[in-house]
Amino acid sequence: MGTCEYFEALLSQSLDEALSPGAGQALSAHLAGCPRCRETERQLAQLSQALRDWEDRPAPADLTARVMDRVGRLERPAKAVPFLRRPAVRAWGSLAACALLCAGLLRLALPAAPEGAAPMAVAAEDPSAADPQALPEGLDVPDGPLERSVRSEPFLFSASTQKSDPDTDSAGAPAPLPDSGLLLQSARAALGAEPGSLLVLDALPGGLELEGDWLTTQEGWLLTELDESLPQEARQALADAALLLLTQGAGPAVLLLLG
Amino acid sequence: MTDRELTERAGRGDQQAFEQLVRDNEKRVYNLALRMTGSPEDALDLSQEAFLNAWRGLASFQGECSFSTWMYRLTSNVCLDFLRARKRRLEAAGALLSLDGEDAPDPAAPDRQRPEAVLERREQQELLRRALDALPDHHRQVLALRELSGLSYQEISAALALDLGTVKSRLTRARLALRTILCRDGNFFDPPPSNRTEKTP
Repeated sequence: MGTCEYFEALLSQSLDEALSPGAGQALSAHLAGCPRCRETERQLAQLSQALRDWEDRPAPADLTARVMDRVGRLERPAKAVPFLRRPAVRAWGSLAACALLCAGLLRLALPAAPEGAAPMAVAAEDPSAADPQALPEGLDVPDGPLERSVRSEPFLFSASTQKSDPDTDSAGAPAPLPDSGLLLQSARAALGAEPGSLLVLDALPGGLELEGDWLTTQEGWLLTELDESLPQEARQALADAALLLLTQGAGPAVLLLLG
Repeated sequence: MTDRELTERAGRGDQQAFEQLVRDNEKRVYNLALRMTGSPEDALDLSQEAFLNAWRGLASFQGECSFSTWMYRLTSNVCLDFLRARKRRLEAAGALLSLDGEDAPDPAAPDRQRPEAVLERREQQELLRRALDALPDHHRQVLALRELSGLSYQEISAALALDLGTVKSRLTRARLALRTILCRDGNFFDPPPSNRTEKTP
């Protein structure tokens, strides 16, 4: 004869599997003389049944899709693909001519640089909104498709529809943009290697829609809009975030500054 | 393709094979997470975490148990971690917790002064859900695996890396604890047979 505690364990077990004959007999004998354990038996049985009757919910319809999306992103290699090899870049060439971009936006200029040159910022500014072809001096304008020159160093491109800004540094990025040197430094630090390219525009290319703060295109580009009224620190932070996203293999980040 | 084949392929990086495994197990995983956390939103997030852990860990998965059993383990582990972290956050925020069942009854429980009434199934389910949430995490875990996910003792033992004796005793304690909470809430259990006096909770 054992204590109720011992028989409570048998009661629990009996919900899940058959007891051995000896244990079963001992339990029956105990229950015959113990109202407390009979009550426990009744309650545990009811409880167990209620739990088992509890219907499973269907899994949310997008659970598998979300999992596979994250798996895909995990597996995408974060390599720095030479900018111009990316198929998307050829599209930029035509986009540069598209109506939305042409509103003051210049074609991207690709300066020729010697091997091993430090990454440089290219600013293509429109000093006169009426003349989309005007370019800062000293920059080469490619006549052919943008993929003509292939480089292994990272690029920082920016194109702005801003009216000419007296603070513009003619050798570097225009004033509204985050400091390009800092951007590239952060990218190097984040990647542990030379970063991929950054393309900075200030107009949303035609045919793309922004959802929330970030947009990802099929080619793996990220775009965001940076409201010009945001303080410098905020835009810097967003630029840093874009660079960090680069490290996840999401491709070049594109920062759009709204004019 | 068998589960074993799918698992082997997925372990070698085959995302399509893994996707099939996810589809085949998403309902189990989601419902376990839902039972353990009580929250559909958290269950959705935690289910994803569990599957991602599976993806990352597949290469070293030896097939010592079925993929489903392994998923139960991964799922209950992410849920336990989540519950621990949530508990710490709540404690840090000074919130009163009654997560171990010994404290005062749930103040949000409706006041049901109907000792003779038989509860509607839905109301019963609600009481049960609240009582489950009030259990200690490890108790909720074994109960969920046994009663809700339908795992055998052996499968629970494999999933949680516990010996059989521990599984059985933990289940016993979990059931008794749940019974105690439900008795306090009142009216979950059918009234006792008429020749007995009303049992005081």
